[in-house]
Amino acid sequence: MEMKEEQLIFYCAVPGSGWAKLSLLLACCSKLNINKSDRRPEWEECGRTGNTDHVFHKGCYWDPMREYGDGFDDIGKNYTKENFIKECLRPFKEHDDRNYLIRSHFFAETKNLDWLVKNFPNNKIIFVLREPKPCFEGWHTGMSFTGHYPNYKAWMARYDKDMCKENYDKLWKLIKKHDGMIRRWISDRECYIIQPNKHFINQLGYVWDDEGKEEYMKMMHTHQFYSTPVPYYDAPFCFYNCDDLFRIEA
Amino acid sequence: MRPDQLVFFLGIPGSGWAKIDSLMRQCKDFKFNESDYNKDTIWERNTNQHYLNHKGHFLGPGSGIGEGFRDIGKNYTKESFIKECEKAYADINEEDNYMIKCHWFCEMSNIKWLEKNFPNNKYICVLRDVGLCNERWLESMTFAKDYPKYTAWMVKEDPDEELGKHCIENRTNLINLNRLHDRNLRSFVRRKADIIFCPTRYMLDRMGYLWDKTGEHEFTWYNRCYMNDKNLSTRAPQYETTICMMNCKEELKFI
Repeated sequence: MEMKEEQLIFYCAVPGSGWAKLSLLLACCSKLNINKSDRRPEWEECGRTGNTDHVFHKGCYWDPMREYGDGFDDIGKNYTKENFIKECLRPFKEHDDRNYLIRSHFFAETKNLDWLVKNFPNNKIIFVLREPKPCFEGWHTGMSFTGHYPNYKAWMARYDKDMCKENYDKLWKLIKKHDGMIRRWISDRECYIIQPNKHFINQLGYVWDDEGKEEYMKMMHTHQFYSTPVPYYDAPFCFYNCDDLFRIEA
Repeated sequence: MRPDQLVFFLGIPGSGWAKIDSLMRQCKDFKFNESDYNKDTIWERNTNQHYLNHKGHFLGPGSGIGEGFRDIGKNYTKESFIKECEKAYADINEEDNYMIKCHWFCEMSNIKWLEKNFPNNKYICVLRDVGLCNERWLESMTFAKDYPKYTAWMVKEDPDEELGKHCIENRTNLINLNRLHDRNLRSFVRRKADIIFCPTRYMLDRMGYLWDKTGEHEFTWYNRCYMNDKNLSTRAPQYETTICMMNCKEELKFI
């Protein structure tokens, strides 16, 4: 079966935004029809808490200095369109009419977003927006640079130490830079910015099977957006080119 | 006025709800009546730091209409409540919807009363971080000298009050009430909201936003006041106010 390039859905946010957990919700939405064959037991991560009931990284993450997406710091320079598609598809074991959710923090680079839109004008791009400060704190609470999956080597300033000031400084600078780039890029484009509450994910055809219930409950019970007396609603999705997900009446 | 013509609008002081109200009034699919706009209910202040533009009625204690809205169930029947809401509008007809704005709807007893008596009505709520709301209101408004009046948030007279200078007792009371009302509102939103979104141009288009001179003015000022990053290094929109809607699927054109 020949793959249509529109099957690639690009997904982007800064570290600590909660995008990984939110992507697991998207993977349960029938309207997005996500291919999950990039998942491996070794790519499941519960972070620094060590609580295996709360796995929040599943499947492949593409970014520089990782097994996949090593050249994603500057896609246009490092790939042809064909090579880029191959790199996106490489970790998937099954190929059919399902869509591929390609998750990369470095898509946030303005040159990358512009390249994606130029080369894939009809593809969906989904962002998660969250203020840099809670992102940095969230990442710091749950992750390390090299000790957990996926690695964050591209955010490190020195490689002889994991959690040191120089690395945190670089992480903070990159989070702020990429957050600003995303926000500026979407500001003059046709986007919907919508919080992922239960009613809304139902609009996207959320499937309430065992997996759907589990991912939703994990989100509600463990995530800092929701495991508070009242939700902050501080990490909305931003949908670009996703009109077909939302019914528009004549 | 039929009960279903009332659209309840909830938000806390400093949340930017007045600007959101102005945006919503431009969304013609809602058919909002604007006969509450008159020379006494349009107020504007443009400082270097803030642009404030309050239009139309603001119901609740201290405003002249809705004096008993601190506890609606105790002070009104459903019928007398509707009559009280009608007072804000000069033109009552069977076609339009009527935006009913009141900060005091955020009292938990009022939320429950509204839900019980108007379960199928449209509700529009504005959420913004409560710390930002406090900061915004305290530096840009007064309790008793601007429109609308916020005397119901005062615990003592403050004749020397100036813009940005409030006595500590009133300041503390506003902060405490905002915290309580924000929590009540978020709890309501968690249970009931069909959709929670940021008012981007594209989203407003979906609800029939009229981009005439007024529409451009309102959207521009909303952006300047609530979207732009103060951080000169990024200059990127913050999208820090969100609109939450209940029972508005028809206007939003979502399934």
